[in-house]
Amino acid sequence: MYNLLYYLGDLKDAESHTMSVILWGILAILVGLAGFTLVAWLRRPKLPPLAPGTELPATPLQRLARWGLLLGVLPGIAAIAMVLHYGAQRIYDDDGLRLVFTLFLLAIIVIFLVVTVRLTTWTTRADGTLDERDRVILGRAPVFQSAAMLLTLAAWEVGLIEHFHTAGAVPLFYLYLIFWSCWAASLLALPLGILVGYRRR
Amino acid sequence: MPKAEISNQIRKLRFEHGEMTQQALAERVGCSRQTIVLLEQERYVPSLVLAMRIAKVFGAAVEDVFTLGE
Repeated sequence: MYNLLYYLGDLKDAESHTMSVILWGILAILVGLAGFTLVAWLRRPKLPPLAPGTELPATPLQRLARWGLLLGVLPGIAAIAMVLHYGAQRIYDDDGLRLVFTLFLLAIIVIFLVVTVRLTTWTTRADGTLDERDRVILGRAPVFQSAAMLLTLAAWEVGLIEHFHTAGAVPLFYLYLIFWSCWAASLLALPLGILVGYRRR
Repeated sequence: MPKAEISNQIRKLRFEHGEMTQQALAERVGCSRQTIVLLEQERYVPSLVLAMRIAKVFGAAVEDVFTLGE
């Protein structure tokens, strides 16, 4: 343990470019992974186009995901706009602003809860509201949640370390932002994953 | 997913059964109309359960409704 701390201390005191190289390396790997995913997606076996004039009616799950995403994104945008307008430090220090900011993020959770309750009700029904295709799509959507959380954490890690590594400390309010942003990204990724699932299948 | 290797006669059978609508068939077999549309266009391969339910609605054997492509 002592050796590890000693090593970390050395790393902190090393030339400022050391961390940059590591972080940009991580970023390069992430970009590479994203590129690989994009190429795999572009090279996927493609379905023939629908016959002309074919109307593809939305399923109840698709409609729920659309509304969930739309209603969830709005408070998310409002929260981001607050951070950009007031700055994270001011929101954290001002109780009123922090309350409004938290309410926006709570709104995302409430919308997610409504979606989840609806989904749970549907999954217990056998009336065809969710058919086998819907269930497969629903089962795969959580992959997007874990990816969204990982990407959000990676973005925070790269951004914060790049910004604060010379200071050697990160202001406390960033913990608050990291927590809420991961929550929001994870919740919004579920309806997004469902909608992408319908495009792929 | 590549184009389904299973072709089917669902569209033809619907019309032979009193011009049954896609929605009516969907309700009877317990799936969405979107799934019926995709099945008819052979863009989706159904589970065995769904295939059997569809065949049952038309009073036909599964192999009369669905054919494995060569």
